[in-house]
Amino acid sequence: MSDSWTDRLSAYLDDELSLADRRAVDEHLAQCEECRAVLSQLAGVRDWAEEYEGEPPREAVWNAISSAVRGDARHGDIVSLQEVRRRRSRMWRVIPAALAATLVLAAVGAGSWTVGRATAPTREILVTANPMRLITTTSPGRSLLVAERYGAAIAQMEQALFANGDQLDTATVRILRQKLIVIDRAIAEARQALADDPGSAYLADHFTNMMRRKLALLRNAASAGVTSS
Amino acid sequence: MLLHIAAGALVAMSAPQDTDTTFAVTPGQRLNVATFGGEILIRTWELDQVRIEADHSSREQIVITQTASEVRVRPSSWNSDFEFSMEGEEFDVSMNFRGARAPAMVDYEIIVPEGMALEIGGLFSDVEIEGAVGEVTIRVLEGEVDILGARGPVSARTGEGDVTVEDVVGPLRLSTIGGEISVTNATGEITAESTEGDIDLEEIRSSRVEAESVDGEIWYQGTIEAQGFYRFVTHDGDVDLELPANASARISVATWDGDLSTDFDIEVPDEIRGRRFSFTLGSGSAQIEIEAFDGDISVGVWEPDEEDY
Amino acid sequence: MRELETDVELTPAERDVIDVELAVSGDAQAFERLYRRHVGRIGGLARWLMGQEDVEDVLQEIFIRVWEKLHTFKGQSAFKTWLHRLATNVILRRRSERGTHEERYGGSEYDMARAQTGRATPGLKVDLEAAVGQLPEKAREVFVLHDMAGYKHEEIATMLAISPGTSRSQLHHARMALRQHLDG
Repeated sequence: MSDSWTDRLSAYLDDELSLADRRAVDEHLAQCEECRAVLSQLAGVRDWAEEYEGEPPREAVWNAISSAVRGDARHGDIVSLQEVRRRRSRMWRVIPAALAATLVLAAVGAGSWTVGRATAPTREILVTANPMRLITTTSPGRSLLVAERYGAAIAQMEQALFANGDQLDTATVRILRQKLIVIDRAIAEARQALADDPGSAYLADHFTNMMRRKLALLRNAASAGVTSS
Repeated sequence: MLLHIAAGALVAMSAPQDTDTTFAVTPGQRLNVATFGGEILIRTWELDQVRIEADHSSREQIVITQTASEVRVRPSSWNSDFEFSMEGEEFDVSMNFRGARAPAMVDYEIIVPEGMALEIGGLFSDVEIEGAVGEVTIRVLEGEVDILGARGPVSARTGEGDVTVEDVVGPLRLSTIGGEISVTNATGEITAESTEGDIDLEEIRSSRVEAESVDGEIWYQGTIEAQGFYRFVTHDGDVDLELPANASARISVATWDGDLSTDFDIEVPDEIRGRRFSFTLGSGSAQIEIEAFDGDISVGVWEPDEEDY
Repeated sequence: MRELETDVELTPAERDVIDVELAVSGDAQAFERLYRRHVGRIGGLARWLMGQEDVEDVLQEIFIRVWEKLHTFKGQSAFKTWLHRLATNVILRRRSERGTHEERYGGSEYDMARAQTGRATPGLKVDLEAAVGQLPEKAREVFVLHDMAGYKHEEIATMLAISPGTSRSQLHHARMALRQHLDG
């Protein structure tokens, strides 16, 4: 169909006509039902393209991507922080023997790409730093160590809470999941800022503080709701 | 009707649709109410008695047990070990909840003597307390908590729901995961914590205040006492302080992505991103810590009316 | 892979914002969510621009690159837009490495036949997805780059070595041809 009016409809739809041309088309559309129909169809095609979701490829594609980036150190700004974490993880990661052979969830605080079998050696470790105590430190490095402890404890709690979800009432779990989004985002932002400015004691404290909050949140989940009956 | 209940006795009120009972209590006894869902309204009177009115289904009964130290109020369905599931308009709950046979939706209206201590727990319960009650402890999973006029320590924790406290004397420990905290006209130490929600502290007289939110704004309007400690921390939200013009404090401020503004006469450096910046008001007696990772900080002057005191 | 549960409805764009932030700081699951949310569409983009062959390889290359470059995404545009541009760059580079026109479509008989029969049997309605594959090459490329990947005509003109005017008319041609395959 070649019609001087319909030829302009794509440009009209994309708002590319001059003001004068646009007005002319507006006036034409007011009287031409056929053109209105065509315009609506063109919009339909454009909207379809915009919303098109397609079909996912084979899972093998994801597997390949996943293994290709695991352990990849090319992350620009975050490298130094992850290097620090990797060096320390062996000392501070809490992996009880029972968990070592099972899939360990990648808790946000526990570093990237720990999906998979836990390979860190199961040296005895730490860590029952009282998470409710506010940590103020004099050195960012020490804050990171403390944050590592929280990360490990968080990973354990999440494992316990969400793997055995039916032991907690699901209303509590639901609230928890919703608010974990908030705090996980805060942790991610705090971590990024710390990566951008590793020398800042405030940022190190803040990051640790957010981790502490997350752990407190997870622990409170177990006692949310009623007092003992 | 005045009913005297012997200590240790288990009494089941068998009124079909509701309960209305009044009985004597002794000073020092605490009221302990727990429910699955429904409203809990508590007022005070000058009598040494407790009146309990409850609205509930005909299958339900209110069980009141008295010991020397407390008056325990529970729905009768509370006392067994069963799994059940329930769908409400806003929630689906499948619970393996020790102690409840079936969901007990009970609306309570309770009148207690002034000064009585309260311990309240609910899963889906709004709690409203008005009057000079004593120590208050509230734990609610989803529900709003309103406390007006308490005289004694207040500890309130909700999972989802605002906590509003007014005209209280006594230390406050308020915590919510997804709700706002609002305190007006309070005297005593305050700890307020929210994960997602603003914290407003207005007309406060305290020597120790700690307010922390992850995603929420903080507003503090109150005195700064000598040697006091005040800490306000958010991740994502502004922090606004209104302090007396003659406040004497060492103030430490930190932000990553925010500005500092102040009515006080201090020089703010151009760049405070990521570093703690300190300044002193007066003789620097109290200690104030303000941290807003992603938010602006303002320290302004509060001019309380004479009547506020 | 389940999406995060939230108490308010999040738009896909909002979910992207959250997951990008988390992924940048190393959250494996957030990156996976981004992948799963967008890979189907990017796969379509790849197939229509370079044919069926090597699509899986290209998708792999694209998302590895996303992982590497994610920290450079500043959030001034939507993540979807940024992702499409990155993907298009990878796809077009692959395509030019492939060389000749015939090889561009991988020599797959299926695709060659498609390209040659061009317009569908008049009146025969196929689904839109198939119809895009049946468009003449230029029209298909312009349509995909403009309506799917969000490029402007001036940019498309540079990418495909045509004039902006040609780009506009090819887009119109594509939309007009596709409209008869719309449902309803």
